[in-house]
Amino acid sequence: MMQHYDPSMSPWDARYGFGVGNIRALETRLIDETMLARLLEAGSLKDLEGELEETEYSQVISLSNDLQDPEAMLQAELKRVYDLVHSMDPDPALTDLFRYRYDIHNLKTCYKAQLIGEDPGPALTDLGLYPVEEIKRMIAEEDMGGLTPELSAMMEELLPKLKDAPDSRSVEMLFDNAQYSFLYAQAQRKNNCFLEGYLQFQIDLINLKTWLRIYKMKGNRKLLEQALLDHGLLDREWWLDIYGGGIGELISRMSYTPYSDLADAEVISEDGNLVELERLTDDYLLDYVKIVSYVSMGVEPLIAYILAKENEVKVLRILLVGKLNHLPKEEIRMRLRKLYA
Amino acid sequence: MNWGLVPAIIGAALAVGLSGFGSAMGISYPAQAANGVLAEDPEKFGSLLMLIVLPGTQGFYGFVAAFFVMVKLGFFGGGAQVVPTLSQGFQILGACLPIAGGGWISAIFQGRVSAAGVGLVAKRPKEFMKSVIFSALVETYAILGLLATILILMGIKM
Amino acid sequence: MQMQVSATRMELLRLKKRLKLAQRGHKLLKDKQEELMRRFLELIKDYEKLRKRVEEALGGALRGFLVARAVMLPAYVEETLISSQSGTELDVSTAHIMNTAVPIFKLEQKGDIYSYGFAGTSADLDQAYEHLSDVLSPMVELAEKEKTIELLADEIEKTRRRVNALEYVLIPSLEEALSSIAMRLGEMERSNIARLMRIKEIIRRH
Repeated sequence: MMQHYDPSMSPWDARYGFGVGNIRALETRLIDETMLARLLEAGSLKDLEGELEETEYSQVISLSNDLQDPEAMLQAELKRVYDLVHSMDPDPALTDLFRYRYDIHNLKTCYKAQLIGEDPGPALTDLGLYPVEEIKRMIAEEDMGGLTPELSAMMEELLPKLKDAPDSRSVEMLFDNAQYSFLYAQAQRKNNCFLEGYLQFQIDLINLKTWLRIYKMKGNRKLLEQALLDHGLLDREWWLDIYGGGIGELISRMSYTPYSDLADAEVISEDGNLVELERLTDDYLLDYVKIVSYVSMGVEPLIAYILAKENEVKVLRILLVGKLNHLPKEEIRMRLRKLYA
Repeated sequence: MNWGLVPAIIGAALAVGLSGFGSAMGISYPAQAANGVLAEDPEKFGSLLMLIVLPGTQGFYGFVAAFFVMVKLGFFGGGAQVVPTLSQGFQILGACLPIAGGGWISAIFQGRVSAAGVGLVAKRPKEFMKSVIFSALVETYAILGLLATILILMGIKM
Repeated sequence: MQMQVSATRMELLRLKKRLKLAQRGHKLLKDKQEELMRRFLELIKDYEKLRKRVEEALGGALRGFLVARAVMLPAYVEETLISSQSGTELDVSTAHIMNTAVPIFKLEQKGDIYSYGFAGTSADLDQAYEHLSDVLSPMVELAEKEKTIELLADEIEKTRRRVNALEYVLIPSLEEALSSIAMRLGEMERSNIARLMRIKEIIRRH
């Protein structure tokens, strides 16, 4: 379903020799399915901690306060990975994009908080490249000069639109769309077919989920129009056209798209659980990322490693939060994603 | 004055220079990748070394070809004993081209294959021999180039 | 309690009237108490059912947030909570149960509860929000029932005290006063008769 990217299209970039070799060795330390099964079966937190000690997380596990606060540990690990990849990337424009996402989140949060005069507090994340205080100042003074030229261009374009936004949800949707357009434009600027393909794929899958969520909330067409992201393989007209036709129409039209497998997977139905679909779409994206193992030199394996780690952290978060709150094993399992390793 | 020696020596120089240049590049790819692997996993040095040296052979082939040219010209009996005519000199230059070109380009591509092999060894150390075989397949054409160079050299009547 | 009353026929009539009134009041209050009790028990039964429902729904909503927090970066979940574009209006009026004023809450929800974008959020969050919004109106109803029960309990207590005061204090003491007046009057009657008889005798001897 993802023939639009061919690994041989990626140019041979000899600058990435060290990085790729390093990544290939690091990939062997990703948590694999057997490890995950052991983690899931661990009876007590103590056992869980013991199992985690055998993984890469042994370096950060002390931050979790005996696993009572897994988030601190997981975010420290993410940060470590971003920094590591940044250090081995001779031209980090693309790998840094993954951190700009958090900066854009912070910008959005500060903007929203300022609208209603509240403190954004815990809704900010320090995973971005810019300090939180700096972002707050930028929003307060509407001065985007401190950002990279690309990012500040995005904000300059976005700010006037935000002023006309009627409510906070519109603000969010404008930000979301701007973020994905920005990411896509950067991938295009760097001529990276892999990342371009990944983003198109991701945007389509997000649009699919948005379509279904709005359909289930009985939202109107106008809301859908606002919420859809641009730059997918399927354009917004495609999604809007079938909105009146309901789920049956969606499934039948999807069989003529690259996403026919998803239409056949029977997770999309009137009363279907979106949890299952979210898991499947994440798995599909990961399958796409996996073709990068055919690229032996270039930025692609580095990007793939970031995505693999992000996925791993997500899986671990689901598992740890579930275990800490005594969710039934089934409820945890149905949300666990595939792993890269 | 006889100009025959000039193209002959240029031929020998090309054989060594180009294939050496190719080898150097070819080695640098897997070597960089291997550095990355070793940073995490120093125990793989042995198998990685094998992959790194493979693209280095072209440089030797080039040298061997140059050596044959020198023998042909009798360099080892105290200076150029045999002075070729201009036509013979160009024949020798032509004879050197298979290894010069073949060695140069095959070394670079072999380097790429080896670099990919380094990635494989990092993930699956047991599959090491397979990646060596793939890399060696590229080597074949450097050997053929060398063989052609030697056969042609031998066929040139002085 | 001993009532200080003057033992006159007038007083007797007055007290008799009071006793009758007290007895009628007692009966009425007793009826009221019974009716209040019946309503009270009914309410308690409803309340327990509702409470269970609310607790279950709240648990579901909180679990929804928990799961959303597991699949999203926690900061992203927090961000959706910063602002809301839905409003609620609570209308308070009063009704009367057996002369007791009890509150009636009317809740009106306006606007869209989903005040966040879709790209960075999970469908789990939609469910959590939906649960929370669904549980709001039963929760207000629960508050209404709780307050009503509290007020009714107060009223029952008050009525019971009044009934008891009538039954065990006022009525017995009135009855006692009546009987003592009746006795005094009887005695006076008898001594009058004795005096008259004696006077008659003295007159006859002369």
